[in-house]
Amino acid sequence: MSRKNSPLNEEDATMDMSPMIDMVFLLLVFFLVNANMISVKIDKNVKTPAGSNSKPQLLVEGRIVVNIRSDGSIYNEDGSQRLDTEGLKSYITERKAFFENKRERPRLHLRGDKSAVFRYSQKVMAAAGAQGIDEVMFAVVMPK
Amino acid sequence: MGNRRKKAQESIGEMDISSLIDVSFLLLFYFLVSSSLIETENDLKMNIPSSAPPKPSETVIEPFYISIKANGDVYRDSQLLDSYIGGTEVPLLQAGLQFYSATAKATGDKPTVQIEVSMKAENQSFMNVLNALAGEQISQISVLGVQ
Repeated sequence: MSRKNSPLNEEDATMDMSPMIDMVFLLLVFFLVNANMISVKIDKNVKTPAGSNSKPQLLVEGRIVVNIRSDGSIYNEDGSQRLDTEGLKSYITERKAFFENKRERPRLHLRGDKSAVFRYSQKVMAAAGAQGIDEVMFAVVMPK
Repeated sequence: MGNRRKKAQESIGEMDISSLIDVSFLLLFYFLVSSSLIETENDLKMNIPSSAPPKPSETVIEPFYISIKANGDVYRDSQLLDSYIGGTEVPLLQAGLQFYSATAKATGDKPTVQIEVSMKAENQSFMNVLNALAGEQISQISVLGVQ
């Protein structure tokens, strides 16, 4: 009897883990890709101000992202390139043409640091306004 | 002898995948937690025409003038409404806008808001005013920067 039982017991003990590993890898790759997608679009040096009446960023089309850091320096979408007055103008022109080619309406997405002064926001809004972009999305977070 | 050989062959044929599962679970939880830690940003949508503000003759209702001083204090015309001490609330401005918005609705006019902001005002104080405007569904504004 004991000999007959032993192969059955062995089968019970070993669990087939391949579907679990499949699932884990699937989830792992999902979160890995997701995390990368978010970090590309945000300049981490900008601490955005708080606003309780803000709405979730549902519309993603045509956003010309401009970052303003706390010292007033202006950066492009991912914060990799600092923009001076001329650079800002050509950056907006280029992004505007890019979105218009895709038939998307360009709009300014302004990520201003909460402690930066208004002068720099005004500068960016004026540069966008000069090229006919009136719609401004101010990036804010929900207050804690 | 026969039994021993069989055991040795089995241990070579089966790979131990428990460490692989350990590592992949660790990575999974790391990315799961880190992705939820990133603070999601919201929008405050405003239409700021670069052209001149509408002439007073076009509207019956008086425009609502807001001015933000260099220290972030919020004034209506020349009357102080809310002092800025780093907070995010402007209750008196909110109340004033609520009344103004209701009046505009009653007379059938579009609420006209003009904001005069000091170039030295902090972004947060400007955003507090925009937040109050968004609370009253006012998205058409004109902004003027002053020294």
